[in-house]
Amino acid sequence: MNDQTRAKLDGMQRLALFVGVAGLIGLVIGFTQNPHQFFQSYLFAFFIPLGFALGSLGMTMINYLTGGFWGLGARRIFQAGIRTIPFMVLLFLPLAYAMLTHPEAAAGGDGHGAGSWWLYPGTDHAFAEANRKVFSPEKELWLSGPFMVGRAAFYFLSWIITGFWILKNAKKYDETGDAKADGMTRLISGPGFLFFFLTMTFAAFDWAMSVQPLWFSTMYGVIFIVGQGLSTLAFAIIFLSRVKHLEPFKHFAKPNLFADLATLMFATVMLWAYTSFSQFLIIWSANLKEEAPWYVLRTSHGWQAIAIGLLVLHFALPFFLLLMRRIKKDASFVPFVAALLIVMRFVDVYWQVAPPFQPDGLSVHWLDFAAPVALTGIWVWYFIGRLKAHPLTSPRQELQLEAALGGAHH
Amino acid sequence: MSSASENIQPIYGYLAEYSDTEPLIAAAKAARAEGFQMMECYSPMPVHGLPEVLGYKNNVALLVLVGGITGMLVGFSLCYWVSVLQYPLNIGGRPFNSWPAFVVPMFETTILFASLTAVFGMLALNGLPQPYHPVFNVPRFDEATRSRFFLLIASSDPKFDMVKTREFLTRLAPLSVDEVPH
Amino acid sequence: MSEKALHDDHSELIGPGHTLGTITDKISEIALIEPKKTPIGWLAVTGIASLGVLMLGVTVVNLVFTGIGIWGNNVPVGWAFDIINFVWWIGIGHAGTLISAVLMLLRQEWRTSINRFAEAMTIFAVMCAGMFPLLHTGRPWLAFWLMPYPNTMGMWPQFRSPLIWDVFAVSTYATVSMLFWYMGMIPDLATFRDHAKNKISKVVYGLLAMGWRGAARHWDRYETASLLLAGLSTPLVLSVHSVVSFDFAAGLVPGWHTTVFPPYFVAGAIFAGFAMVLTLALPIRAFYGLKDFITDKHLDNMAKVLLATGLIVTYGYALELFIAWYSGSPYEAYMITNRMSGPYNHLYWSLILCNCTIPQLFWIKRFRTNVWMLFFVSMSVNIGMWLERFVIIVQSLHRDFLPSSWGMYSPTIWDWGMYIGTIGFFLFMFMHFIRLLPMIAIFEVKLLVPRSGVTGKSGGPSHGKKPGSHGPDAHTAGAGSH
Repeated sequence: MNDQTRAKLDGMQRLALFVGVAGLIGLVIGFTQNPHQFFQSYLFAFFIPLGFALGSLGMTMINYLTGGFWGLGARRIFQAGIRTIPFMVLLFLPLAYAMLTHPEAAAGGDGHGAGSWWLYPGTDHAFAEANRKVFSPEKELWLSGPFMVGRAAFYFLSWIITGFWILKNAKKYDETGDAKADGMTRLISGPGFLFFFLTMTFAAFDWAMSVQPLWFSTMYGVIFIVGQGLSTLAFAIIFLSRVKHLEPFKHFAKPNLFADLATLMFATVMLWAYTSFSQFLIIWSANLKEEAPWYVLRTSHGWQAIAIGLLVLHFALPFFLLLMRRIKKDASFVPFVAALLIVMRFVDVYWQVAPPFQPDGLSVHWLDFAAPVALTGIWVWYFIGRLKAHPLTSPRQELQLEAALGGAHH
Repeated sequence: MSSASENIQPIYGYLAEYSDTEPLIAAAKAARAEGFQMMECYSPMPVHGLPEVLGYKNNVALLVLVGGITGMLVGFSLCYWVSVLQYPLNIGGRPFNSWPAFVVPMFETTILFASLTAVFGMLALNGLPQPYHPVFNVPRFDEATRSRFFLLIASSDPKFDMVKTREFLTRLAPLSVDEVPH
Repeated sequence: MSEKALHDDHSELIGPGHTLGTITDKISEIALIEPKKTPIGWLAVTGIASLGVLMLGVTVVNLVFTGIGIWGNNVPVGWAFDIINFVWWIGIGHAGTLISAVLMLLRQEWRTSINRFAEAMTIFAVMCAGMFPLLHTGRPWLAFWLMPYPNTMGMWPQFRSPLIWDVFAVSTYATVSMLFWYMGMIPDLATFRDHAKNKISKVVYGLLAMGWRGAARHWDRYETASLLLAGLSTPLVLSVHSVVSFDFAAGLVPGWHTTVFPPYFVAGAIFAGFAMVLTLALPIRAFYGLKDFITDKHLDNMAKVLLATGLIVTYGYALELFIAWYSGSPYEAYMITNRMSGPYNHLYWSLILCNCTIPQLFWIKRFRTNVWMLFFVSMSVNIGMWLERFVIIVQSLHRDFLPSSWGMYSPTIWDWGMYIGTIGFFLFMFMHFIRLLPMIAIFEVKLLVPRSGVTGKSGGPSHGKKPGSHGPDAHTAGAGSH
């Protein structure tokens, strides 16, 4: 890393810290004023940095399994992303605290929402009452605070171990060129990805789907994970576009890398639309009282505007923009599409998680802006720190990149 | 030279044969530099870079986009017209304009129209099917679908000359140069 | 290993010593051989397949004249073999599109030698699939009623029904697959036209080739069209099996109505399809000596795809279990209990064995290139995926919401006859395809040949050089001519 690169990264890191701390101050003020709103805003904002971190782990493993220039070009970014997973544990603590200390809001509130601590006061009551449905004791146990936190610890531990193991071997390969270490990265990635997909599915059920604990969808985990992949790709594109003129990025952050990453982002946008629409269509068609209220809630009382916004800005517009090869290759325009998609990721998660807390219809609180700014800023700060702490390149990686670039011109 | 081109030439053109892509591209570039315009290359598989050398742009993609958008509009209008205007039925209390359900047929017609445009558009732009073409009169041309590469300079080119063009092609180191009868 | 893969190293994808000419000759030889020299093995397999076609003919004639009462399905199991086989066949077809389109977009060059016959497989599988719902209507001669067209009855299709989506999806899929397949063959048909010995073959291939002559402008438009078609086929293939899954998921039947069905059906389709590709590729490779084109690398890759898609399917099964419990719905819970311990539970456990357990053998590299192991696992998946559809369809239906409506299903001889008949029909079509058409995409395999081997000059691989690097040469040649 030369001085110019270091100066640029330092500058970006300072900016991220400044933004993050400003947001955090807002969060603290918000907490003292309205703890309920604090947790609700914190929850949805938490998912995007989580997506960057875990998406990096997933993308790294996919790249080891399938190969491809895109993963080589973005490898250091993904690796730094993996290194932020332990930091996500720290950011998770407020949620764990809420899980453990708000059982009265849940069990006490209406007797139905065990574990769904952030539900109170929510529309889900009315829904639960109307259905006269109570959880089985097993489900109550499943959604109880200690068990939720215990599972979260297990998920985080599994992600940290997988990530650590991959990074260890990747580093060994970079430093020594040991083919065995390279083989190990791929060997871990197969079962590793499988295990990640399973744990992430359950994490999505635990942390996001259970805001309406009576609602269920087998597709939910898939939609959630696809969203994480999309966030990560968009983040990598934006980050690379900021440093593409610097050592050592300038050797490979060329139009074809942006084109490859943008193509993947395009595919992920379509996958997101496909999984989200399929879930909607199946529930809309069957029109069952156990499932349909989830969408009724999210397409009325002002939320329909967000739903339409998602359709247009999370799918239609990026789809048509990324359809054009000219735009995919354009390293100065693609980051804008990526930025739009990251903003829409926040909106999508907000649309999924927030409605039950707002029984009288869409009402955006200022904490809904402060929380994402705080968590994203602080995460980016930590991310750049991790990126700087390790070599940005190695002779081994340069060799691989060179070979890949030769092939890419083919 | 240019006056000669206005006459009807005794042959369709000259066909130079090569054993590989790289000499073919080199020859095509040379002919282009020489000022020939009515040229064509023939090869057993696609050769990247040749279309640029021949100075030509293809617009299949644009056609397909138009086809796809047409298919999308046709698909949705069909569903809407049938279900809302022509034959409205109450199906389990769902609205007449059940747009989530219409998305599926609309998607399929989009793909169908775009695909049909891709294949038939490609064929039409290529002028296929074409039962007769003079190059097939050259016996060696059979190899164009096996292992040989050919460069054709057509007699309709303003720079074409029965003698000079042949000499020019011979200088480009082909395996052979054949006259292509009409 | 990864570095090796990064270089355009095709040495694992094509046998050594091949040139453009030998590839053409080796592949076209299979189809262009004189009729009298047709291999006995081919005749034997086609003969057996013909018996299957006869069986199909007899069952269809009986069905049409007697009615679908000859089948075993009846209330509450209204969908049975017909729909199981429809889904099974269409799933098998999907691997063809996946190999030709998705792998093309991902620039996976190993697909080139298997894509053509995988596409053929798609078309014949879709034909077999299409027969079932058409015959299930009971009056297949009125099948055109499914299409939206102005008629004297003044009736129109009902677009809220997944069944009409299916009509659109499957007919679009059949059309696009056919186009993709035919368009892909045009250059190779031209090769056949130019190299067939027999006069009649020359004329027939000539007509089919439509005057293709490999012109650079034609190639360029052709390649654009192919890429676009690949880009269109990829969402299409996803949509087709998703729509098939909507046939179930959009309804209310426990065991059918679950949101993960679309991706899980698509993965299942790819899983089944790759198993069928392997089942067909292994004997053909051995019989026609095509080890140079379908190499161990191909087999290894296909085994990996089987393993991956098998795991996705397993994920689907696991989620169904979990959500059945989590939902707290007594219907869902009963459905799962019945699946695991009800009257059809042996089929459920067999499917878990075939689809989830046996493919795990492919974690071991040695098994991924062992022909017998590959054949064993692919057959197990073929069976497992058929059982999966049986369990989803029959087992979900046979316990209706009211116990008074419960029932059991068992297939009749006509159910089996038609199923086996379609297998015969599929093989019959496939054998003719192998015999008459280019089963490996000749022009695409040619792109894998190291070009320096052909010219014998300019050492070093040609891939690193861009065509533009010859600019100076061209310039000198041009200048010299003045």
